Amino acid sequence: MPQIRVDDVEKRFGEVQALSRVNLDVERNEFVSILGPSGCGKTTLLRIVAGLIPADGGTVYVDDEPVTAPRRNMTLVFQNFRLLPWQTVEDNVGYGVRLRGASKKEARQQVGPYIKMVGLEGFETAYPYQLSGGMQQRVGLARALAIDPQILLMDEPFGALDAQTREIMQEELLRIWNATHKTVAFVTHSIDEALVLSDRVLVMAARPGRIIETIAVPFDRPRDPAHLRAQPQFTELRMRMWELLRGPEQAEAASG
Amino acid sequence: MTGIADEAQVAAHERRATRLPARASERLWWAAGLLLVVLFWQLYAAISSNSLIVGPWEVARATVDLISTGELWEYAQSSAISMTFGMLAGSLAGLLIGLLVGRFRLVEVALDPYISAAYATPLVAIIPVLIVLLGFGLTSKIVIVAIFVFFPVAINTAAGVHSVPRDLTELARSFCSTELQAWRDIVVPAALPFIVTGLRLAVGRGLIGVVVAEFETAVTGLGYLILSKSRRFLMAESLVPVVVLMLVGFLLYGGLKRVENRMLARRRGL
Amino acid sequence: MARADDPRVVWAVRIGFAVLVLIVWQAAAAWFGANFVASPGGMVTSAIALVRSGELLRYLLPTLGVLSAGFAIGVVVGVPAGLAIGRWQRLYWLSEGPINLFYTTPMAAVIPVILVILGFGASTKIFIVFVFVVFSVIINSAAGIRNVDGDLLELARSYGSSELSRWREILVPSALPFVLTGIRIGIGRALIGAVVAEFYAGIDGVGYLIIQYSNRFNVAAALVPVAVLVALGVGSTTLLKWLHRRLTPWADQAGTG
Repeated sequence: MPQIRVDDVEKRFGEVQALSRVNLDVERNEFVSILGPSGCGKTTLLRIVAGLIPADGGTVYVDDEPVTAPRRNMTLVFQNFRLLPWQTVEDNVGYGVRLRGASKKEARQQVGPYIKMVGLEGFETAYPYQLSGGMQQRVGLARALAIDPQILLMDEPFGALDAQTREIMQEELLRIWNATHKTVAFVTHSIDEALVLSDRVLVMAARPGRIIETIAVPFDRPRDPAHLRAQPQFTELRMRMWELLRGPEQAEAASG
Repeated sequence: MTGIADEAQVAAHERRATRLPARASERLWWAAGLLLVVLFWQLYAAISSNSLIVGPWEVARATVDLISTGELWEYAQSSAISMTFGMLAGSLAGLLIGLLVGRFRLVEVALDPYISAAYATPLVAIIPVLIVLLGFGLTSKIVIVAIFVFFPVAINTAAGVHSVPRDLTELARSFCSTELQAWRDIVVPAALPFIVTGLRLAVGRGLIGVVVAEFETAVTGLGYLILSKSRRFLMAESLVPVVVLMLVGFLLYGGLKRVENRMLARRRGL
Repeated sequence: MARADDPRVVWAVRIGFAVLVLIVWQAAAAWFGANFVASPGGMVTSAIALVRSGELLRYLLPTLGVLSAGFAIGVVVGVPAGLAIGRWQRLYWLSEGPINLFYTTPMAAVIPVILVILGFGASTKIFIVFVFVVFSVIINSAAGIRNVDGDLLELARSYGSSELSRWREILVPSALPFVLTGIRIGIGRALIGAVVAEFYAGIDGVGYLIIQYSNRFNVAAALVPVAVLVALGVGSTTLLKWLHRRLTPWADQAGTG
């Protein structure tokens, strides 16, 4: 039974059909990327799965239950980090833990290992404005992991980072995923990123938003992104996905 | 955009206009500027033919007099009590309404014309009427201060609640936060600097309220002192409470601004 | 709340609120005695009487005169002074102390003293209004200049522009929103100054009317000039908001452009 099942989901914003009859499955412990150009509805899809916005048609099932509101075993990591600027790193990481009833002190003790896991040991009492973008996102990641959810939903989490930090974070994420094996739905517009990180890539097209192809990523884990990128198979897959992404756009350009 | 939101932006604007001296060199210039003013004042008083114009030296002497007779302390106490209780009452009411206005858009648009109108009105105009209704005692003064304080606090608190970025409220929802938890973790901390702005502006207005109320009730308080001394042409003594009020206003304003700045600094990047 | 966007609901609640206040007021009048508290009806009756007899207008005109004069002088003096202070660093540092001090002082406290020293005439009242207005205008105008984007000034320098052109093209337009905010705050203060001055300078003006009727415990009549002041306050603020939007459409109301 897939952990996440998206069944014929539709979403309209006024006149625009953001999502049209989207179907997908994500198995337990699978790392799936949702890849597509801007405006294809991938973020909207993720937010529907997260329970933040309702679908206009169809249903999302998580653990066989229809999703109507955010769930406790699903957390989100956002592109713009969304840390609480008036709280320290450790209190930010402990946000979800405190919501479950822990006191501030208890939360700080509980989140220690997660701060270590993302490599921010020593920065517990720093404030977000004192951290770089990459470090802030590590906090966001630690926060999402700290309540030990089964599912991680990530919305272009490295989109706001510069190229080098982005690659470093991809390696970090791989390392963390290898240790925890969460179910992950990862939204991105970077082909490289999708290939490096995931088990499967779902390619989306825009207007209306729909999934046009599913590609299995054959590389063995644990992965070394640097070497991976040099492999010919990687380049082939990359070309194929590039064609896929360009295809529907070319068709649209022709029809005007 | 509602009048309330608009006034709050004016307040935010004004916040940028008034700065505290940061570095030591700035403080020196501040002191120099103030010293210059005092010198000019003394000079003007010395050469003026109008015997009613007194210089800083005479005011200083009068201050010593009024302190030693205990007169200053006695009247200052009365003003302090009116201010304190008035500010407490007005701030509490302002906070409550401000939070409601900020949270519920319907409340905001419904109350907007009334709050904006009251904020634009010179509230001193109702002081004589209020004194007729509430008497010449402490009650009327506290009520008057409370009314003066209420509006800037309410407006700026509402602005604070509005300032919460939607991103963060969505974050709370994604973590299955309850409404109450979201208030505690996100809304109140986000609104806090704005609430302090409101309090800072309220102090200025509250002082005006208490002083004019004391003019009108003419029984006790620093305002009464100013009135009675000036009417008896004791100009130096009449300026002593003015100086006291000046210092109190300045210090409270400055202190609250410092708190405000510190809170805003932590929010960098929001 | 989708309901908040429905104008009918909004107006229903607004009018409902006003009706509620009127009902409470009427009830209070009934409870405490209409002669003491004044009822809505009593206020309207007084208003009609005051307008008919021309009394209201007779007392309103001097207030308007004092306000306009004091306000105009305050702006004419304050804006250039503020702009100059903002522009020249030494001047700014030197004047910051006293100006901030006066800005945070409850100026109303000085009014009785000024009245004794300068007398009870119209010119004293104009001076008082001026004092109330000028510090707000100076501070905000100076802030307007200081908030000018340094990049823009560097641009001007790289094009070899003159000081005059810099003022015209960059400094004044950038500072304008702040200047308007200062004027807006100033007018609120002007009203306070005018009213309090008229409380004690005693022979004409709206403030004087309020005192007269309050002293005779005629609350209903006293509320009429109060209402006039509410209208003045709202009117002038609205006018300035409109002016702000008209003159600086590129900036939001706070002038953060």
